[in-house]
Amino acid sequence: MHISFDVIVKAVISLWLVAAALYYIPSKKEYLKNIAVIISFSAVLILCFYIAQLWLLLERPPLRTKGETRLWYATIVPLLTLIIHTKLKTYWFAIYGQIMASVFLITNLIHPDYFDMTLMPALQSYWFVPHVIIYMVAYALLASTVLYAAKGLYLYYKKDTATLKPLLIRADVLIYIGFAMATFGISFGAFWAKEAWGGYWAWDPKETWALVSWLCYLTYIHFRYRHPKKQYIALWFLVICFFMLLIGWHGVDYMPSAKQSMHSY
Amino acid sequence: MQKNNLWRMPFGYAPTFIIIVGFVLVGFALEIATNGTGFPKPIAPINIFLIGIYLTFLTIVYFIKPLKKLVNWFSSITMAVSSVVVYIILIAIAGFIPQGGAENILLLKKIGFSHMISSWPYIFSLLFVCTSLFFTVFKKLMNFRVRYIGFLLSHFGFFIILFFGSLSVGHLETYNVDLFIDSPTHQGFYFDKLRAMDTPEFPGQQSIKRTVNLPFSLRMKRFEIDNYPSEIMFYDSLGFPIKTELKKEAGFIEEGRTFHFEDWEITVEKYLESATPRKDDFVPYDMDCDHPAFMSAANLKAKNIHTNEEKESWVTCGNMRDHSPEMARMLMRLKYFFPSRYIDIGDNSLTIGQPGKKRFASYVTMLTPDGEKTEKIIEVNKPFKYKSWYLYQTDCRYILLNPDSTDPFRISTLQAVRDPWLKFVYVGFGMLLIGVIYLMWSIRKFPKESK
Repeated sequence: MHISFDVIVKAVISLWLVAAALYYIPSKKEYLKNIAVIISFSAVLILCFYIAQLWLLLERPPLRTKGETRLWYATIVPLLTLIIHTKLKTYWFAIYGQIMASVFLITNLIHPDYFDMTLMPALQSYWFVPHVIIYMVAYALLASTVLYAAKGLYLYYKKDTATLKPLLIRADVLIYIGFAMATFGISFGAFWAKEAWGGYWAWDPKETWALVSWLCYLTYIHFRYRHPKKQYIALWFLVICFFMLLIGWHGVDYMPSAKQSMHSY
Repeated sequence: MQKNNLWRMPFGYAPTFIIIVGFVLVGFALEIATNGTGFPKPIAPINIFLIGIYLTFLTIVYFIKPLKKLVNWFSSITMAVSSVVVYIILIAIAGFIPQGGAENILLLKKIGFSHMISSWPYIFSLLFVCTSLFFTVFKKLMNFRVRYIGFLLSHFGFFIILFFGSLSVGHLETYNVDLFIDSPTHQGFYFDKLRAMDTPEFPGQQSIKRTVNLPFSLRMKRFEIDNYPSEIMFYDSLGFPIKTELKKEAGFIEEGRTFHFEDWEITVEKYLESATPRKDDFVPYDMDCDHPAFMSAANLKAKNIHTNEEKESWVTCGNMRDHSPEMARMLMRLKYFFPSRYIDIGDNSLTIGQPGKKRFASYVTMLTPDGEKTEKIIEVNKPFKYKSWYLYQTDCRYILLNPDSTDPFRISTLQAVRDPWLKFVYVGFGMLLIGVIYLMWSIRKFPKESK
């Protein structure tokens, strides 16, 4: 049975809309929120099913093109935000994750570019799947901290500094895990490059920008460790880090250096 | 008075930044003064010498009592943040401006932007990061506690990667080896970059091919190349390709397969992966997919499901690809030059595409000076490891040894890379990875939320 992508997207987004409505129904009944979590989670399961179906159809892991990257992102981000939501009881976080995922899914519907390439020999490696999946998880975690930064800045301007401290600690948890994942992602990429191209590091623009964003989060971690009280700077730090992450992820393709990159797809 | 406070140890962010940026500016000045030649490549014995001097110097500085404040400053987080921020800015430039290629933009070259990673400002900034890491690690080692292990692993690992990785360039050897079937060779070659003054008689010449003797000889017995099947391609009335819902993999030609396009049902009656034309027909012809004469052909039946109009014909991708001029001339001499053939379906037309390379492999025998003989299949992603050498399959193609020849020769290009410091750097990676696992583990120490 083959289910087409637009049916999947419609189903997933409607489920998320229902879930979002349930979160915000002004009701004291706790089971409504639990149903919302189950609905959100089943939408993620549908996406997992679609990835599996795509994998079988392509006879290769769907981890090659930008569209496929977006598909993974749209699966992993809502899953993570859902887990964080159930742990920390922050409804807005789950909903933001789902909104971002929906944007990516709709982008994929409008630009169906995710099937165009066969796997060239250099990509037929056992490093391929770990490198890309770990990177996706890392990016999902690191990027989601910008939401905390946005909320934190809002609170800061409302002079609600008491709630800032726990908020930044929550962001730090995500940063620590995401940073560790990104380290694994870069290292796996390096090991793979050594197997396939002869050098573990080639200063390819994508690599360079991955290093830039990695170093930015590294600096953030040091800064937070040394100056836990400088919350305002830390919040803007997160926003800058997020922009660096975006450049590394999407912006590189539009730079003068892009023509040298072998990561362009 | 204000100024005194600023320049009193321990330094804050402002003086730290000023000092690092000052050094980087000196680096830029050096670039301009040397006309943008960059930091000289640390050739083999010199790099070890430099490492020795640097590490000894830092160790001595550490133990000189009056310099304690300096060491503390270097191992502070203030220094870590400042030096990394400057380092980030420099490599961001390297990620933005094409590296090595912007030789014609003189200004960029002159200030080092076109070769950032080997420029003076980069080296200065890297030295700040490395020195900061060194003192941080050294200080923690001198006051060792078991709970420092995670910290030491990540910091020392990163130091090894940055420092030894950068200086290993002097020991790194990369050569290409062209292999012909059954013709042993022990020669590699590389292209040496020339400056205009090296060859005044040929000012346009950018590089010169130099050969080197490798410590082993290679003999290729056989070369194998596999390809993906051709895929079906649709074109509109103006000849532009039509993007279809078909995934590329789902568009692969296979005998007996049926495709649907608008009102048409297309069935693959026969598919010859490698074919040659015979009158109006095609017959199988065994050939590698990168051979200049190679072409695929398929017999397709198209049926309009509304009008029941039927068509049957051979289509081919032909062999008019991006050939080198000699190859194109050879095919023309042989009168073996075929354009693609289409079937018209309504306003549109369809044909099959050039098959893509799936896998290529050289069957190589290596002979070493001590008489050892090893046989190995080298493929992309499956390099051959011999001592500290890695042999990679990088390219394969056909060439004509003589412009009038009609028999192209198979060449398989390998890349031989020797990086004796690889193990060091990998140890660094291992330490860094264990270190970041520890970092994740340290989340448990975060202050608990007071709800």
